[in-house]
Amino acid sequence: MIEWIHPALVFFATAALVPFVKGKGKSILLIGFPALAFFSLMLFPDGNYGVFTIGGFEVVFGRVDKLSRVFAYVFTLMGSVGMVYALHVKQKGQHIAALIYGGGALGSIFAGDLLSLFVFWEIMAFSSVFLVWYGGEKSWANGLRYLMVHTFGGLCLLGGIVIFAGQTGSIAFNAIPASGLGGWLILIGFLINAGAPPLHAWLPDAYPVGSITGTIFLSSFTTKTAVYVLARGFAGTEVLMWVGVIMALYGVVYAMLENNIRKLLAYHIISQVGFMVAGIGVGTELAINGAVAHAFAHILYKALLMMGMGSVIFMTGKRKGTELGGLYRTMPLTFGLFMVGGFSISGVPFLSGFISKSMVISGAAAAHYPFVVLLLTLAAAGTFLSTTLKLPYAVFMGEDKGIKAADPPGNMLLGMGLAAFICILLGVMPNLLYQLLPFPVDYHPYTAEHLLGSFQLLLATLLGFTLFLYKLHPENTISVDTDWVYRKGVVWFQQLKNPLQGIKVLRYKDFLQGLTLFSRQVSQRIQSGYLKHALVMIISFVMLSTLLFSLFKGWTLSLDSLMQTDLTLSQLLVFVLIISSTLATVLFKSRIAAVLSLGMTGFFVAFFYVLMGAPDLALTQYLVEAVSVILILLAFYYLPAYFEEKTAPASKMTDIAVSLLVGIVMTFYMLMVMDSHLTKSIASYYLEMSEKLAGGRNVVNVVIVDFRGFDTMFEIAVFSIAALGIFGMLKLNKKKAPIQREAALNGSLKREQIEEAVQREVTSK
Amino acid sequence: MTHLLVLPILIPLGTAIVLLLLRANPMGRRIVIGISGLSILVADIVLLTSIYQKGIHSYQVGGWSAPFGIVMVGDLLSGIMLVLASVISLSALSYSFGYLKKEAQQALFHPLFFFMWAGTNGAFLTGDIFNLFVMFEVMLMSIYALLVMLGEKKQIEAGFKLISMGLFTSALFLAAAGGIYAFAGTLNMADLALKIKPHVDHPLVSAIAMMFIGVFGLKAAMMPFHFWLPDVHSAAPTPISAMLSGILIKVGVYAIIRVFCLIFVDLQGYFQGFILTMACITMFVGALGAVAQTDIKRLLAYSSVSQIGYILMGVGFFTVGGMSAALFYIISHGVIKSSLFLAAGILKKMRGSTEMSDHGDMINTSPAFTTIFFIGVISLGGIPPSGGFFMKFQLIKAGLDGAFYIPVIVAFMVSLMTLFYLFRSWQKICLSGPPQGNPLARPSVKLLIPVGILAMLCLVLGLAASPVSGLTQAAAEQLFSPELYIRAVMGAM
Amino acid sequence: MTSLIFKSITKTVSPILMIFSLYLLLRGHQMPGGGFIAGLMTSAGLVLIYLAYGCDFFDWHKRSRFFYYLFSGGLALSFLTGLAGLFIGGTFLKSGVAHVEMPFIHESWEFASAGIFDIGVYLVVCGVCVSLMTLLGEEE
Repeated sequence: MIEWIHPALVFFATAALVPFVKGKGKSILLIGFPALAFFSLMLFPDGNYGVFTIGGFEVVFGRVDKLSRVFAYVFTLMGSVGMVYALHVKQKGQHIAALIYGGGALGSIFAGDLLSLFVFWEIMAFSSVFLVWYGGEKSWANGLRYLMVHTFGGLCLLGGIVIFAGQTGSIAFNAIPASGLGGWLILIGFLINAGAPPLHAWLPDAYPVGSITGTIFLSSFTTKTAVYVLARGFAGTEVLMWVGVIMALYGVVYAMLENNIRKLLAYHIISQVGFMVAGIGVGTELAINGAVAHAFAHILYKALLMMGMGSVIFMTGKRKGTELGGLYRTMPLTFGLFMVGGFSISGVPFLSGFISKSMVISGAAAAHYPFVVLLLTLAAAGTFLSTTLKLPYAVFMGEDKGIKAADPPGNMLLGMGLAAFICILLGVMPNLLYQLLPFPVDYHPYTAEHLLGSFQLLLATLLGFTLFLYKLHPENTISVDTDWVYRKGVVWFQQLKNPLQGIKVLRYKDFLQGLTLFSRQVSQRIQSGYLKHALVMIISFVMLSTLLFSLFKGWTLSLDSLMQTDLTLSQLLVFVLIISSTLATVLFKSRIAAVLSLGMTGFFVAFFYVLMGAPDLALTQYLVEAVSVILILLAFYYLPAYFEEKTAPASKMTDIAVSLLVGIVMTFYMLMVMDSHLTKSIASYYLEMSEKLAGGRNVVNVVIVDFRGFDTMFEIAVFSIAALGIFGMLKLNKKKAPIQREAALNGSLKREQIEEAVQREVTSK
Repeated sequence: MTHLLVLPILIPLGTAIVLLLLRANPMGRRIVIGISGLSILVADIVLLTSIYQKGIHSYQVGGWSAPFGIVMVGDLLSGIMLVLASVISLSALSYSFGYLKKEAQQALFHPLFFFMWAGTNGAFLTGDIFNLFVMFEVMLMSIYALLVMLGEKKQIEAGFKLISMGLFTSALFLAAAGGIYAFAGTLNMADLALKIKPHVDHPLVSAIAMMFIGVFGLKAAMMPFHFWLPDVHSAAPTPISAMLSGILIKVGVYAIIRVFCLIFVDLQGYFQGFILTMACITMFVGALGAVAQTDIKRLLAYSSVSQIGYILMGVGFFTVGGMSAALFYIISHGVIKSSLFLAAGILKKMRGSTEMSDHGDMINTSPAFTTIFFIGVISLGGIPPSGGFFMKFQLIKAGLDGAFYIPVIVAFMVSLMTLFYLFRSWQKICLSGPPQGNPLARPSVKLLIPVGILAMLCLVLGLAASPVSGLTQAAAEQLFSPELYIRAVMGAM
Repeated sequence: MTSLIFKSITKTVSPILMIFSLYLLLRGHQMPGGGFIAGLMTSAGLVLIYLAYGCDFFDWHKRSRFFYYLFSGGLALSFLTGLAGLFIGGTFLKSGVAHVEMPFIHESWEFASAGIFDIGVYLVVCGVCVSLMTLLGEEE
């Protein structure tokens, strides 16, 4: 018995199946499965599904209620429609990314806890970036920036979640108070995805360069998921109202100034999301209903607009408004469908935008925020001006640039047709949408007052546009205040635009390049590549910190143990010899002389052992020195200069300082060690037990081979490893003498083989 | 079965010796490697289960009782590290067959590899501070030998750096071990813990603790001891780079955890600020270095430095949560980073270079490679649902629980940089247009399989985060009750 | 270096060194000596021969394989001694002492299994030193 089918799962499953299908099967899969997810939503009643306990937290994968359901409806719907539009795309990767992206969005919608929300949130970010990257080579940098911003947002969200969960002890995702560090971090994380200024820069940066079909999905899911989570978590947070208003205006102003057709639409997303955020900020039932309805309608008409512009780019390859014009003749269907979207976004009656946008504004009005109402109305007028008038004028009407084009392939038209159909359907039958909304709706859009009001606004703007366009005389004032603000505003903003963009670029685009440059400089400073620098740093760091940490524990110098030591004349003499031969090692310029005097040091140390009454130790020391000096000399004599020594810039002072530091710290350390013996050492046990238990009178040897035989086992291993290393270095890499190398490795070769190899060498030269 | 505890040391050591003797018999070597590699994995898993069920194990080598002879001790921390080591080593081993084409190279490589493995496992299991020194020497020498084995200029130079810095810390280790022996009269770690506890405020103890941090910090590539790492990682044969990042630098972290949760328990507070500061600097400097790199292996090497900073941060919290998070981080980072290094080795095999600008268009050349690399990238970047997400999540949660806000903020910043450099490299290698020069050959399946397995493990760690973090939690709790360890060792007297 | 005096001295000294090294090895458990020092001494003797006679005396490089197996075998010997302890019923590297009545001389000699371990050490030290020398000298 299936309890519940998670629509995100359907999307993921589809993504997994895509690589294995072709042709018709692919079409059916791509359109059918999202549609299936759409209908599956109707089957199951509200409630919490998919509840797991992970790490002591209750994770809810499927919280179905009215709010999540309405977003899921539009997402799955959009998934199908977008797939229709994208059917012609050959790259399966795009389909997969879009499906995972949609799945992530659906997962976020249904997440009943913050943890799974975060997981799906990140899935969304990381799959959507591919849709940007599929826009071609030029989009890579943008995509990377997009990703970085979203990761930053994700991190804020994660940090917020952790703090919030730490405070409340629960990760359930319900209303979150916008207070305390946790709440604010979560809010910032959400707002980044919503594209709220000043955290919006990723949106107009990435969307216009994305792949034509990918942008449809991009403009549908990310920001609207953010609207959903804001509605869920921060409904009625007053600050959001103002954020929304700023977004609505900010987006629209930039849209007016923009020439790149998709960038213009991208700015419009910010503006439209601003309406929704403002509605959420108002927080009354009507306003939230309005925000949700607007999100629903917006996804569809914005997708329609994006599809329209995508088709234009697809057919002409041009992206700028000034390069286009007069396309209404060659792309009539596209033009017609685009205008449906344009009128919808402007809130023309009998189209979907009208029934939702007016709801938000009415909500603000009913909650007595007149200023918000005014500003939102202003933004609405601006939307009409830029999207519905300026953009189509530039692209489809205007001067005919004689661009050869035709309406796009059937599937693209079909996708646009479907979206347009839904826009009209919702406009005509608003109750279809209203009954889905989270709160009961007692709102009638088609009152005379509303209709009149919007017509007035639209007509006045239209009038303004025509005047503004044809009679470029600024003194031609019009009695519509919104228009006046706009025209003045445009001039004002145009002056402001450059410095603003300057700031934006500095903050955002160059930031990553700057980071790379900075890292390069810092790393080169730290990692100079000179062994000497590294050693100086390591040694002085260890020595200084050792000194400091013992000083802080109250260490004081005591010379008692030193004073108690008897020193005979012969011992003193040996000391002098040891020190002078060591000094000679350092001072000798010749390598051979240095090695020999190092050997001398060893011999004097051996002599010292003799004086102390340890002949076997002395013998060992003596032999070690003899053999190692000979080996080092051999190495010097025969080894080729494998590498030119990279010598650090000479700085004798540093060398002397480091040597002194090591000498002083180690001397003090030894004094300290000599002063402090706590308890009887285990050595006495060895002395007692050596003969009794291990059957040997030579305690040193018994310790080596028996008590600590395990150490010895590995020490001889180290010895062998060293030999193997040198063996490898010398035998495996003699490029000049391949025959000899082979001979050495395989034992001795047959005479014929050697001759053959020599022959080969000769002929190859 | 009492000998279970030494098997993870004895099998690789014995295998190495047998491989030395079988130099002239390639087929025999392969069989031996296969059998013993798998049996080590099995032994490690059995050991971990046994520790989990029965508590801490101890084993007296040579039959000499605790403070006098050398004792092997297996607690959950050791068990986890052993299993991780065997998983990574096995992948690196199977990879090496495809990577080293020449029979002569393999004849030398594999014994050295098993010596290294024995040393690593020995370091995880030993309960004796001098034996730890010996194990460190085994590791240092075998890395050195494996490095210079390829004997080109780059390797020799890196090897020289490694051995110079390594010898300095060896001397330091000897000085510290000698000092602690003179002070407490014993080398057994559990015994040391008992002897030192009443005298913890003695300045000598702090000096020795600091020296140990230096010694183990160099192994772990903690700032400012990280200088050897980028050169060595990028110069080493790829399976060894994977081992280095995956497990060998963790030995240093392991040793820091071990001494600070056993011998210097009461100095935790004294050194906490220091360790956390160094952890933050390590994180940041490593990430800066990685952003600056154009060579994928060097980039990954610097990234390892940065990630060690994260792990040390978790350790430096000195809370159960932090320790558990650090252990989880060690596990996931080990798997992820070794898979990334092995992937980089595939690139090297394809075009003979690891410069990112020499590569491109892998998405069309090899979608499998692209996917594997992508999994590694999102895992290391900490993107859910990979294991990497949980490792970062737990760490940050532990930091916030303990009110260590500054390290957490640094960790946040650095993880952004991490994502940046990882994604940039992935994009360059996989998405950008085909590079100049010879057409790309497809990477061999022999090499892709071990990498793919590790990549799958990254995902599995994300899905199975719950049981794994349960295990690390138990290990961390065990670490914070050192009396359990001491009783397991000294109780056997 | 290959002067007549040096050669003559080597001729006398190196056999003494060899024999003395064996003596050191065998008595190591009871009196000063042991595998390590004995191995070093043997190699010192061999090094002397090498320095005095170069490659003439016997073909060193043909024998590099021999020295390779010498230290590998030494490792194996020590390891097996350790394993024997494990199988006899103790732990790894558990040593045993046996008192054996020697025939003819009627003395009780003490044999410790650790002595065999020590022979392994001897072989390794000897093998490593000499193979290093031959490796380094080979470039000639």
